[in-house]
Amino acid sequence: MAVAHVRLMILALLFAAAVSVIVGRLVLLALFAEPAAATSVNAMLVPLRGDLVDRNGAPLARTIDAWSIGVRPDKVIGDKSELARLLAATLPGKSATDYAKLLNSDSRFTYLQRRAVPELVAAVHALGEPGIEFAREPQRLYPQANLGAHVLGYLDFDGKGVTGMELALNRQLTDPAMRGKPVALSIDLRAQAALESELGAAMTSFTAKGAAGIILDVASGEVVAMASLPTFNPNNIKGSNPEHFRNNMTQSVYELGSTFKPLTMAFAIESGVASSMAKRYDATAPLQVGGFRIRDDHAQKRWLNIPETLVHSSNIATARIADELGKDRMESMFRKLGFDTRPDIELGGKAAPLWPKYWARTTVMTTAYGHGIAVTPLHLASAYAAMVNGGVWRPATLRRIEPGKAPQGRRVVSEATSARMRQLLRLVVTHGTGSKADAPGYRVGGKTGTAEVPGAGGYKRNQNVSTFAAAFPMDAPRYVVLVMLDSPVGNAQTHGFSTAGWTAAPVVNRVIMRTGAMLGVVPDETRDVDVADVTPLLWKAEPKNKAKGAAAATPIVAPGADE
Amino acid sequence: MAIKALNGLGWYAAGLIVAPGCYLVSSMVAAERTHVEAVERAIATARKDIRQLETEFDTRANLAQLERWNGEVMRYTAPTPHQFLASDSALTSLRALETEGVAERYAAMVVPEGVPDAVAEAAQTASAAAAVPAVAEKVAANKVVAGKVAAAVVVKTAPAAVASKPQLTAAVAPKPAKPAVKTQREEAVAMLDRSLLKDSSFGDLMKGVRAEARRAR
Repeated sequence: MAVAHVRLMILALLFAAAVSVIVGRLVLLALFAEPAAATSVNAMLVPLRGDLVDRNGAPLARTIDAWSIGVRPDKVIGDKSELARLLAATLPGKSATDYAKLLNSDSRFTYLQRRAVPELVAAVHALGEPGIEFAREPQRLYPQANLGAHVLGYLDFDGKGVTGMELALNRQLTDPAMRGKPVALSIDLRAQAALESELGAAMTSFTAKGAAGIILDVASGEVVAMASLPTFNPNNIKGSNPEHFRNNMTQSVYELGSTFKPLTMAFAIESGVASSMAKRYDATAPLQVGGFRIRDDHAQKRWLNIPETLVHSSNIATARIADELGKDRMESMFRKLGFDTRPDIELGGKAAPLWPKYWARTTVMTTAYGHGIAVTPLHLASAYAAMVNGGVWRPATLRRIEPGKAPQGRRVVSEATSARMRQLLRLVVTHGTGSKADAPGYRVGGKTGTAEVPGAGGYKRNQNVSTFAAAFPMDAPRYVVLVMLDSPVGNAQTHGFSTAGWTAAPVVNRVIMRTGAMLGVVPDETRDVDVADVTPLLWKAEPKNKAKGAAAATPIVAPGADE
Repeated sequence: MAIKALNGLGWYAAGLIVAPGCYLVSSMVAAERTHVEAVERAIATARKDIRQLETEFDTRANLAQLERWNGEVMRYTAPTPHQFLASDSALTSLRALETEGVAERYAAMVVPEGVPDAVAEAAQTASAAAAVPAVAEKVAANKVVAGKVAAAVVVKTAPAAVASKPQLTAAVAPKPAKPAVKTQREEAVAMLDRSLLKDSSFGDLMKGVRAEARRAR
């Protein structure tokens, strides 16, 4: 009896313990558990990876829920060869034999199509095969396809950034706390489209191997547009040529030729070597230094002063100026412009410049006109920005900078030197080799550069890199525009010339005409930088584009004006 | 004693009435909360749909596509300096007809064609403009048209075009408000515009919409 009681007691205690455990758990859940629904409503709106937008908020990259179609070969119940035939008909891209091979393989799951449009999903669904599965998966979509592909980059299969800003911003874009807010890049989509379209047109018409261009804000270092052609479609990485992934603006170095001359000139003015604009240098005959012979492409065979040296793009006079500047000053100025380090920008895989190992006298002379030193076009664009913006170098950036929050930068040349450079660069366009870049009303200034491509056994005479580095408007510079064509071939329109003045300069002209107003520069033919103090120094030089204002000044009688 | 016993019953009755009331309130609150949540969820779904549609729209109307339309169909050009006015007074003194010819010399087609070299054209037009009085006089002498009108028309056209198509110039002269000589292609595009923007086009569109709505129902 007593034993039975004890047993009953133990049983009752066990039941009591079980009930109290359940009640305790319920209390815990009621008090402390997070309601499941509350987070999911917010989570619905937060994309798995943050958006990328341009400086005006237009989307550049978005994560969307896309349909994907996959197949489990072991679960297919119908006739596999028949299914393969039907698949080949609905999903072109692979042949029926390919599909048959895929269906008979022993893989457990294979994608048939990722990022399928709903119509396609419906069509495949109509095949009625239970082995085919449909799912909605988050996928990265670049609405503008090829546009700005090198800036944006792309993702790998797991959704991690591989190149471009997708890689640079990977952490921020995937951080749960920050991915809800789109990241604004400095790119202006409209300017980017115009730049790419013009570069593409030029590349076709000059059958160039490649083309690259950039529009850079001189005051903040923001890259408003950056393009490198040929390009790729980040929506379809598998179908792209891997060679086109190279961004020639930051990943390739070039000897940029005469576009370096204004830099040398600025160094000379800054250091006091070019004490006066009228100081003249002997360019009567080619210059022999050691085993090296420096000659001019547009030989003037006379003494040239500072503006003339630039306007006629004289290698000889520039080399003489550099010789007077000397090794130390040239080297330190190039270092100040960051030409000895990789370019400053968020992108990965940046190329290291080819910096001379030893600065011989010839090195000093040749680097002055852009030979014997190779930098990325971005280096040059940043340097030009510093030349014209009042003398302050700032790193280039692809992140949007709020107005007034531009980095401090470092002073490279003085305000006065910068003012002088604006005059000189404008003169090159009005009176010199850059006349074809003179977009009416935009007061363009810049310099041509045609450098031969180095290859095995010296420079290749028939291939060149044509560059035009420009800034506008020269009376108060806002943007640097740099255009580079790789190995252009002259055509009938250029009378067979493939030099920068004929190939790259017109591209700059059209890019500025199409984007200038969008970027907030009002074209005005009545304004210009005052060059009155330097024009008298140009001997026998007439403005190339006399059209400016001439036609407007001619009295034109409107029909019926005095009726 | 009896009252005391009834007192207990009263408490019991009060509990019996109040407790379900309390429960009712809490259940109503819960129902309302669920409702709010459902609305929030619907809003979120709508936002998501909007985002999806926006993305689709952006993708279909991407800039490459727009440029094709702007350049090849509409033949738009970049704005020229003459289209920007500094002030209200400049606007009032604007004489659009005078600047029309001048504006054309800079026109940068959105999709370049032929000679993209606007500057060379500008130089050519400038020299032409200088020669205009002479040409105008010649045309006026040859053709029996009012001299002034002919001069205005000549200014607006390239001199080469005038030389090759003098009869067209004369034909257009009575209606000087229109651009004088049009190339065939320009005319074709103008016709296209007309067919796109026909008065009946909008009606046709709406008819289509109505028909579609009926089918959907």
